[in-house]
Amino acid sequence: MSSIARPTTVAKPGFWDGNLGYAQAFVTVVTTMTVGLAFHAWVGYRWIGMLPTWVIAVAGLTPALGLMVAARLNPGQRIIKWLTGIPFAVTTCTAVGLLALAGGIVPASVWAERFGLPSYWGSWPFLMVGYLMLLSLVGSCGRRLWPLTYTNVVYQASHLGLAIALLGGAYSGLTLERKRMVLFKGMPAETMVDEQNREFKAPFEVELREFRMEVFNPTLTLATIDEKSPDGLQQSAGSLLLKKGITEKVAGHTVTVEKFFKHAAYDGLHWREVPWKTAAPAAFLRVRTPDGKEKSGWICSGSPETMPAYLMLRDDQAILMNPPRPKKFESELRIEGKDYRVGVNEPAHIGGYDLYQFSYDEKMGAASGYSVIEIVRDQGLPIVYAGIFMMLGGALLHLGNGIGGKK
Amino acid sequence: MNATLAYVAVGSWTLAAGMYAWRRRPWMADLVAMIGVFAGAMLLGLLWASLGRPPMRTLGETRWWYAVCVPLLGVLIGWRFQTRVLAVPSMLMGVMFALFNLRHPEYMDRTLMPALQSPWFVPHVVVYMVAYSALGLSSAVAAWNWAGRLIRRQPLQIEDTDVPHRLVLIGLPLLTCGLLFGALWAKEAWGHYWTWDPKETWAFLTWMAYLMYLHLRQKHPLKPALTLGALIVGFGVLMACWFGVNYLPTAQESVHTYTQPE
Repeated sequence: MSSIARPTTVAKPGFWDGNLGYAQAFVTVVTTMTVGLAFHAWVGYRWIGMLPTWVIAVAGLTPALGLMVAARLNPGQRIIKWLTGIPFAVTTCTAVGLLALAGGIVPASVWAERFGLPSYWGSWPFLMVGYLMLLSLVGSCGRRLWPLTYTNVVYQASHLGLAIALLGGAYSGLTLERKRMVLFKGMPAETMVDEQNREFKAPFEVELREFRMEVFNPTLTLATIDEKSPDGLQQSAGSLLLKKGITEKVAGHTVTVEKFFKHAAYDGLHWREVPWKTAAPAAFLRVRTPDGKEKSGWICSGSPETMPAYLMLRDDQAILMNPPRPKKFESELRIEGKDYRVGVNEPAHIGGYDLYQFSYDEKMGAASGYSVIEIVRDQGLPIVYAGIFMMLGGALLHLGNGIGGKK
Repeated sequence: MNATLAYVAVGSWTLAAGMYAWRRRPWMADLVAMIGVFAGAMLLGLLWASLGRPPMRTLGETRWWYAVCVPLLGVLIGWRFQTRVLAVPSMLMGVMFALFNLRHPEYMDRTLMPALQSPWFVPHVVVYMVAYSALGLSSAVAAWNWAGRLIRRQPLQIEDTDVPHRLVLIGLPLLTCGLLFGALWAKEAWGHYWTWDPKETWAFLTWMAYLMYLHLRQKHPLKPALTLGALIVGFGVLMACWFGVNYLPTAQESVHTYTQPE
C-alpha cells in the first residue's frame, strides 16, 4: 500500500502579521485621513480649541509619551518598532507633505468658500495626520533616549527638538491671544479687537504720543502704451531714486533731475516746495531720448492735495513718478506712565505681552492720523524656542559631521 | 563695470569647466574657477554699495549669490573630499545662473521695505543661498552620475550616491538653520514664527523633501536609483519654493512678494 503524500497547507500570514512596513503605514495614514474627512463631514470645521486646553493636552500627550516610554522599555516589540521606525515616519511625512502641498497651491479663500475651512491648517485631516507624524517622532526619540552617546545626543537635538517645537506650537495655537488696537494721537485707549472685530478690554491703557514715518525718495517709470499687455501699458522697472542733480540712464533715456522737492504743491503757475507732510514730491526733469530729442518738465506722483503730473516723451510714451515707498514707521507709546517705541522688527515687551507695529493710514502716509498696534500673548513661545534652539544645535552638530566627512 | 565682472565670471567658469573636462592640471582649473568666484564676489560687493542695501531682495539678486556660491562650493568641497565629480556640474550651474541674470538682471530697485530691515536679513539669506547651492549641486551630481550610467548602459552603483549624499549632509543642516532663522525673524517682524504663508509652506515642503531623502538613504542604502531619484525630486521642490511659488494661485496671499521686482 503506497502512501500518498498530502500537501501541507501553510496559513498565509495576515496583512497585520509578520513584519510591518510601508504598506501597513499607508493603510494607517489613509484610514486616519478618512476619519479626519468623516469628522469634517460630521461636525464640520470646528477649531479644536473649543475643548478645554487640559483635555487636549492629556488626550494628545498620553499616547505620545506612552509610546516614548514603551519604545524605551521594549524597542524590539513588533508594533513599537514599526510605529517608531523609518517606514512609518516616511509615510506619515509624505502624507503631511502632500496635504501641505495642497495648502501651498490652493489659496485660503478657495478652502474657505468651497470647503468651509476658515483655516486649512486647522482642518481635521491635516491635524490628525500631523499628529501621527508627531507620534512617530516622539516614539523614535524614546528608542534612543539612552545611552548618552554622541550619536544619540545629535539625534535627540534634532528629533526631540522638532517634537518640542511642534508641541509648543500646538500649545501656542490653543492659547494664543492676538488683538489689535487702533490708536489716535493723544487719545488713551483700552479697547482692542480680534479678527472677528469682537471687542475686549486691553490689559493696559495705551496712548499714542507720536506716529513717525520716513519714506524713500520716489522712483520713476517709463510707461509706453502697449495694447497687447493686460493693463494696456508697458512699464520699465522703477530704479532711479530721485534727488537733485543726478543723471542716469532709464531704459535708454538719459534723465537729469534738475530740481527735486520732497513735498510740493502746484499753485496754477509754478511748483513750489511746501512744509505739509501730506504733499507729494515733485521733480523737474530734463530727458534726452535715444533718438537725440530733449524734453523737460515737472513730474509728481500725486497726493490727496496734488494732482499727479507726468512728462510726455511721445504720443504713446511718458515718464511717471511712482509714489514714495515707506522706509521706516514707528509709534511712540505711553503705557502705564512709561514711554515705549514700537516699530517694524522692533516690538515692545510689556508684562508678558508683545506689542507690534501693525499698520497706519496708508492713504495719508506720514500724516496718518492713527496707528494700529497688535498685542500678542503667546504662552507656548518658551517651549517653541526651546525646541528651535535644540534643532539649531542639532543642525550645527550635523553640519560639523557633514564637513568632517562622517556619513 | 557690473556687466564686465559678470562676463569675467562667466568666462572663467566656462574655461574652468573645459579644463576640468580635459582632466589635466586640475589645480589650474581651480585657480581659473576661483578668479570667476572673485569676480562674482566683487560684483555682489559693488551691487551692495550702489544699491545702499544688501543685494538679497529680488530673485535676480539671490540668483547672483547662487551663481557665485555653487562654483565656490564645487571647488571647496572638491578640495575637502578630494573629488573632481563636482567640478564640471558646479561650473556649468554657475554659468547657467549668471547668464540667466545677464538676460534678466532684476536688481534695479534701491528700496528696502521696513520688514526686511532686520539683523536677520543677511544671515537668513546667506545661509539659505549656501544651502540651496549645496543641495542644487547634489542634484546636479546625481543627474550627472545617472546620465553617465545611462550613456554607458550600466546600472547605478552605490558609489554614485556618495558625493550627492555628502552634499546633502552639508546642505540640509544649513537649510534647517535658514528655516529656523526665518521663524525667529518672523516672530520679531510679524508677531508669529509660523503662519503657513505660501512661501513658508514651500520652505517646509523643501525641508521635508530632503528629510525624507535622508531617511530613505538610511533605510535603503543599497537602492541608488531610489535615493538619487529622491534628490532630483527634492531639487524640483526647492526650485518651486525659490521661483515657482510666485506663479502659483497662492502667491497673491503671500507677504513674501518682495522677492518679485516691482
